[in-house]
Amino acid sequence: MIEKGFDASRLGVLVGGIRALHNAGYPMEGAQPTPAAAGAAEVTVPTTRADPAWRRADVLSTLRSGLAPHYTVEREIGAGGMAKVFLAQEQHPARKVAVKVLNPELSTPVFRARFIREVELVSKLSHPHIVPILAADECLFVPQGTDGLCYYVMPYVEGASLRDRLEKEGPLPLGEALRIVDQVADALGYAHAQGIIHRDIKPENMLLSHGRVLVSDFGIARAVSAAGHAGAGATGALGTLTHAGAAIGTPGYMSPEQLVGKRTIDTRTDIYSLACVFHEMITGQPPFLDVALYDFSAALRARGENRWVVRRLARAVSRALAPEPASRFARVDEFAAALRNAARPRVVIDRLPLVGWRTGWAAAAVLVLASLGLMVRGPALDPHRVVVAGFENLSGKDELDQLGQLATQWTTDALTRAGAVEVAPWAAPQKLNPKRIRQLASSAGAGLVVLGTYHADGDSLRWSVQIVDARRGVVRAVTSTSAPISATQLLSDRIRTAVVAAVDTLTLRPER
Amino acid sequence: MFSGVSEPLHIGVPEAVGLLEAGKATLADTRDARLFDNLHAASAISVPLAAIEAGHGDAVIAKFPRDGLIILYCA
Repeated sequence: MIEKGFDASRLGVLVGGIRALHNAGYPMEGAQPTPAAAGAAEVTVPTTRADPAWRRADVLSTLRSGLAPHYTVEREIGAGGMAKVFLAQEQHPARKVAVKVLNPELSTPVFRARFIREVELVSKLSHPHIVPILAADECLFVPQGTDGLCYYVMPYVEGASLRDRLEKEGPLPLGEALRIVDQVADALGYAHAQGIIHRDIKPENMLLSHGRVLVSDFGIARAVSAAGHAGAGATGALGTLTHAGAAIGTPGYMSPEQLVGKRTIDTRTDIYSLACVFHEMITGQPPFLDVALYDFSAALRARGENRWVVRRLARAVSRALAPEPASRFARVDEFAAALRNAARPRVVIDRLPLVGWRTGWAAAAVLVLASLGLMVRGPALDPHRVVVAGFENLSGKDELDQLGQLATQWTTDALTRAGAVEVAPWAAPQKLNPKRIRQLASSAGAGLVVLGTYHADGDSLRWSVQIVDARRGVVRAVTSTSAPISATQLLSDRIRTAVVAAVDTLTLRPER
Repeated sequence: MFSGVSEPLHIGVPEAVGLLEAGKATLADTRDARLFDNLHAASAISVPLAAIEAGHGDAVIAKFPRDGLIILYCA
């Protein structure tokens, strides 16, 4: 309680909370940087609405004269952050196309040359879920402005963007959201294999047409960014875009590494952005202020989704949104698969027959899980190879889910450092059930599986860890520890110490 | 939450921003520390609700400036 010595009339409550402040453009600070807070990566993508460059250049009439006779430009059909889109009729072959014109301020000779080179690279992509780029050029004279316009031509896609649909319908059914993610992931996976990163995945760039999803503007952010680097030193919008690493993208969907303007962006930035879009499809907004995924889980629960499904989905999204790229899925198809698996109804044994920490080692050693199907048959499992299956949150508090994932990482790292055993790569957090553990051991070739649970005990969390001999289907060791919920470092130390000691003992004392 | 306070003043964003810019108010973030560390309004101080409820009101008051309005915000 706030007690004596304080004039309570000095207190006020902000209507709408931090979200309202953020939406009003109030500056933000913290580990998750906003464009303003990032400092070195100010995102000031020129807007088409008020930019004088667009007013100076009569873009439509310039396009009409410049693209004739190959294209007949009809009308403007869209305006985005740094470009306008026009509907046009191509003469040969006769078909409708969309012509996207970049802000005239970007148009300098160096920029244009680099831009076209980058777009040509991207134009080689051919995939059923990617809108191809048919042509790109810079042949137009802009009266009273810069001396050319950069544009590229795409097939005209009938339908609406995901943005349009979200604005019209609000959040989508889970199945539909998963279908969209699947198709986008397919497109991204293909592009990533070609070494091309999208860098600006957002609902505006996902077109829904006749039941299909098509990703547009592939690599355009990269082209603009690269062209911007080439044109460093220029003024105006280009100068802004090239500023300190040129964070090109859309706030709300940009990965942390994009936001801070890192130049070493890899495919995992697209995974982050796709997870943001999935979050928005479920909740109606990207996860900008929902780092703990409260809104996400609540939205799914409100729809009556199974709580285990909600947890698994939240875990997958949480991993895709990890601030560090190394903690995310390595490949976009892994993320899509994790979502699919998470949403799939399944019959599971709800809980492993965990041995209570008070029961002790003696009882643990004789607990046979073979009757539950944990016995692994088939390929030989290496008794000196360990895989950490994960820790199940039994606290009843969803906000503590991430601790389980952290503990899995801590444990895996600690075992790797200890070096007494070979450690299989950390697996995606999943519901712990005998079938899953069996599969995990088998796929990792691991003879030992570390798994556990944690539950609240007052202000502390009590962690119970089991080490399962996957070859025989028995629990060979049980250990437990506890630490205050808020003492993360202490918790990390205790779990690591307990698990490493137990595994060490087992590998030094082979089974009889 | 606050003893002796029946109904604190509710402030809209425009008014809050005006007060903040005039130096007449301080923002106080009542979300938990992890959320605060991740993202918070510029110049806000962290006043986790849990700390207040745990009876650490004096420590919370110590964070407040001597003058001006304290504008609390949550998620």
